[in-house]
Amino acid sequence: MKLGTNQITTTQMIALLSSALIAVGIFTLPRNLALKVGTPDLWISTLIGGIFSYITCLIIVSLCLRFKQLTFFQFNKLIVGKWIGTLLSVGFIGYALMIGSFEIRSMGELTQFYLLEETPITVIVISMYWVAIYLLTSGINPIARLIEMLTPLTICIFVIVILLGLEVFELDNLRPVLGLGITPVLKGLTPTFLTFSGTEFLLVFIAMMQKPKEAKKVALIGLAIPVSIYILAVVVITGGLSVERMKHQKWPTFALIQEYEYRGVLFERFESLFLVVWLIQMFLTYVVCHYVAAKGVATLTRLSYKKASYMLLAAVYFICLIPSDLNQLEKMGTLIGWTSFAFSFLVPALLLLIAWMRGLKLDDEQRSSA
Amino acid sequence: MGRIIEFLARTDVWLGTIVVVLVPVLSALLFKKLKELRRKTNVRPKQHFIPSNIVLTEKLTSNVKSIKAIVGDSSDIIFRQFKLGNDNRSCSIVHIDGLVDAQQLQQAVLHPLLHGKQAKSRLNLFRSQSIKDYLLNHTIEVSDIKVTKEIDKVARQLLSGSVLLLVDGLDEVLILSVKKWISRSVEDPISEPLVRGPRMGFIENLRDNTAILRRMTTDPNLTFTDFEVGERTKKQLTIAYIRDIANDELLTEVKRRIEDLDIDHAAESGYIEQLIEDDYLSIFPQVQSTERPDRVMAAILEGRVAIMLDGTPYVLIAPATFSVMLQSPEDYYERWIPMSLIRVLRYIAALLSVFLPSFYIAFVSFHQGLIPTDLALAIAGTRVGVPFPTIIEALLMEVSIELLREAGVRLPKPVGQTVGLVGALIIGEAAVQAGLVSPIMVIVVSATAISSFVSPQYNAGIALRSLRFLSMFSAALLGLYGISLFFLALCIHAVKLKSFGLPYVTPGTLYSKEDWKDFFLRLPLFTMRKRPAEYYPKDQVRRKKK
Repeated sequence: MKLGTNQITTTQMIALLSSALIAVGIFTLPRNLALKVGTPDLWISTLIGGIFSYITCLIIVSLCLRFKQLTFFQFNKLIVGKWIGTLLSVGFIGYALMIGSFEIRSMGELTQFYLLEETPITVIVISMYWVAIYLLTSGINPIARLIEMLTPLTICIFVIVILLGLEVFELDNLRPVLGLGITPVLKGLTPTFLTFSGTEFLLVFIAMMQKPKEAKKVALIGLAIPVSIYILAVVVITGGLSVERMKHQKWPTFALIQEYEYRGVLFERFESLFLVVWLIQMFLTYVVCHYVAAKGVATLTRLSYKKASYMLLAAVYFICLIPSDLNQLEKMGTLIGWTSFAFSFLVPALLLLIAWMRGLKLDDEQRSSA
Repeated sequence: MGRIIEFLARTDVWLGTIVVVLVPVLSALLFKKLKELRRKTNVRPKQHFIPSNIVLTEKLTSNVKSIKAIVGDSSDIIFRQFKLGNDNRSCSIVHIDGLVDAQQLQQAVLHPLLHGKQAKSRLNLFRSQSIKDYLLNHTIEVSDIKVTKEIDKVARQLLSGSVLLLVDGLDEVLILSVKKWISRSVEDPISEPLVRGPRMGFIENLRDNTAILRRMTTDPNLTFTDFEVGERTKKQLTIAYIRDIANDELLTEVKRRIEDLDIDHAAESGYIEQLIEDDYLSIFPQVQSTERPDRVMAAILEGRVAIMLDGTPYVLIAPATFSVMLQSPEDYYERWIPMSLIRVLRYIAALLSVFLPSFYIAFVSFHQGLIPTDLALAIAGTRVGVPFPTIIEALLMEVSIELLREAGVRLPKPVGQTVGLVGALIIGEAAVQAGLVSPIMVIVVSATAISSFVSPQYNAGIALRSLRFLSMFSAALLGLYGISLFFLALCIHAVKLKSFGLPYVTPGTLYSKEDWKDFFLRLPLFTMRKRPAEYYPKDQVRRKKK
């Protein structure tokens, strides 16, 4: 029937964008922000970061709409020529692989720490990759359907778990607002960029939308959901733990969940249970990254998409083992943050500028005449 | 720099890389091969069950001889020769004893033929056309008469219960339909009982089943299309749909698959189901089967297609989704608030029947800290003296429950009760007292068993029960993480699966307001203004008024 197309609907797109944005950041962002900002104004940084991300999204959308149904890997050649275009594509693929491996590695570390202390991390990681490749080989539609099906579930559970933390919430921990002026808030923008890395995947996915005209709506809703979730998390965690304690916790989110206790419920410790659900979210983010990378490889080379995704499995596995401990993993995260800044803001902005100056635009009429 | 070289020199990394790629590639190749197995077409010689070189002539004796040659000399085939009325013309009636209403045959066929008065009808005895005319228009008192020359059709009709009338001087055969055979009366369907709803199930006779459907509506758009399946047995198969609701693409797809199927005998609609389903390697049933006419009617009014086979009360409905497997017609007959709650209960039961034992295994053998301390202590206390790890304990119990269930189904009813009693004693009491299993395990296993019987569709229940074992193994290997992975893999499989082009998880992913009204909850009937969008019906509006 009509569902057999290779295009994704607007709701699927929204779910895709939000699940690309929320993943491991929910564990790392609070601590990184607390270290950089130092005042209780963490949530203002998150909000500003979100607004900035929305602007970058708008740039990406207007760039993509100039080249209808072409992915980033295809249209960058049209704008900056074959060589620089290929270079950009390769960079983008490497970047997507890096995020993907980062997610899986963090997932593995968390799982090992909270759930399976004696299982080697390679076993955890490899089993996750196998499940992922089962999904990846079947293309974008099942991926979009899975994300559409599971993202609302994980988000709901996350919101519930965080709201349970209101038991230990103290408003005083959030005061004073802007006590040291605006400078600490601006310092907090760098970790937010890392967290909101993922918007640049729109560069690839807009081409597959059924109704590309709704891309702006997608950008707005798809960003609003993760941003509000991050703000909620940051506010509740700051209120529950205070900034000083957040700096000293490895994973403040879990610290918050460990802080409160509801006796007489079926489970007493929510953090492991929450992790089990959040695994799914990290898995989804990884799948999006891997898909983008495999799509890129398939566009650049003569490999089919399936073969490309099998081959990239080796690459992702390799990359995810490179950081030897959590500190290096954190450094990898910072590196990803800066690359993300480049790919979500600098590259699209430059490309849009060049395309606009050269008057490049690919419409349906031109396509049919060409 | 040195660290990188050191990293690159690590053999375990390289080994892992090889493993991580090789296993999926190999299993993908294997599954590809398995899938191709089904598509492989065997070229087989065309079989002629009826010799096609025989033709009907104007000579009665030779015609009777040819029919005898085709059907052989079975004892149940009756050849009756007689003379037509006052005339000396030879006639012959051929039919199968037991498939024909003897009284009607005598009254409506034999009597008028033997006592006919040809003179009145100005019969020209020398023209075969006029004999035929005379027989059709003046003599035989049967409404369903066909006249044909094709010998294989004649033979098929004879064997399916029609009466053949052969007349000397006519190179055609009159096929009279006076069928009657023993058939079951319409009863309450045993496999799908309802508290409230019609006490009527399909029976084995296809014509009666179509009549039951026809009785439910006078909509002229209700259409039955006939097919013949089975190279050798040529069973009648009918698809039922509402012409102005069912989507054309769906209809052509169903027809194409039915025409493509190649088998010599379809014993039950389960054969058809397995031959037309999308993925034979999937554990989920991809076609719904039911013996309730009201369910079929509701389904075809939603724009789905029913496939009915002669000789079985089970009717197939395509396409099917996972949510359909957890719906019961009763959801719509009772009021919406309790039925919505019951439907939610069914979803919970489906989840429990797959995941409950595996959660127990994961908690007890990996994450004792997760459950309340008192409970953990209680479990540990009851497990003192149990010699096996949890997975073995769980497997023991699960397998014995499945054994009991299977024995209960197969045995005659009085013996079945004994099995239940003995099973309850052995499993409930003796196993615990002997220290083989812990009492909490017994609770877990029985709760799981009960929730697996909640599923309104038997075949969906079986699927969930088998999935439970996989889930238990993954929990035994990787604990909660394993369950999470298994859940993901299950979701991925469901997401990839399609039934006649419709994603199996619809409406779980198709975020349509209309379809969610009838998914986890069953909202009041007045809110369901449109037919479910998931089947793409041609006529979407169910209620005009807002």
